[in-house]
Amino acid sequence: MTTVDWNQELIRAALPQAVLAVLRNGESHGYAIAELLRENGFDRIKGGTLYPLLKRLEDQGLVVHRWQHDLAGPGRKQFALTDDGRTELERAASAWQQMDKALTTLRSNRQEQL
Amino acid sequence: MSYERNLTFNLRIRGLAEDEIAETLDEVRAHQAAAGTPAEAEFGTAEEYAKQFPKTKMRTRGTVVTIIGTALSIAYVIVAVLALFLFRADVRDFVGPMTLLPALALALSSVLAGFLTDYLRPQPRSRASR
Repeated sequence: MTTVDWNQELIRAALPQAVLAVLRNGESHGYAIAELLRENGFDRIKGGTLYPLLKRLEDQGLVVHRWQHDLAGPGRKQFALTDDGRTELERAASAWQQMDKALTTLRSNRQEQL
Repeated sequence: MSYERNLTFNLRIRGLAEDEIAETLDEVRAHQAAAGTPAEAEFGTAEEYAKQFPKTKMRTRGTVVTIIGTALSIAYVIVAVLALFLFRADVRDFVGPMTLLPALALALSSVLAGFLTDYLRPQPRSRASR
């Protein structure tokens, strides 16, 4: 029997919402977002996954960026949530709760056999 | 072959605009500096990372070079055939014994020139420094 990596499946589904949730607390750069996700129970999210996702969120108008140059080095791309991003985060949280509720009901209910 | 050059080339052949490529390179540099790990460990190989970006139909400068060269080689063959039938002029009198050899050489050269144009062209200027 092949086992499903449920953790990976859930991370893939939850990552856009998780990134929006991190940015709700203020602007941040890519590496800091990845670190915050890791500290909050996500596996280490690599740059190759994170930046294309941030670009998609930006294309959807949920996130914006600016370059910050007050530090030595190559500069930092700071991402921030837009008003649409905040609204979308609320919608995503609501959808996630509904799904969780539906799954809980399915697991606990005794299904009648057809 | 540096990671950035390889990534630039792969993003070009996926049709990304030069300013998007510059931005992607800046992201890679910034993340690499923050994480302290090599770019390949964070982003995968340049080919893999480039595949994360949707392919567009925008033609690269190298593709344009290849198209022009190939079109010229086809035009050469057409002119050679027309000259033979309309004016009884055999192009082999001017270019040697094989009619198609110059056309083939031109087509192959244009493919090579197209590849080198995209590969050796300098990386786009950093957007972060503007």
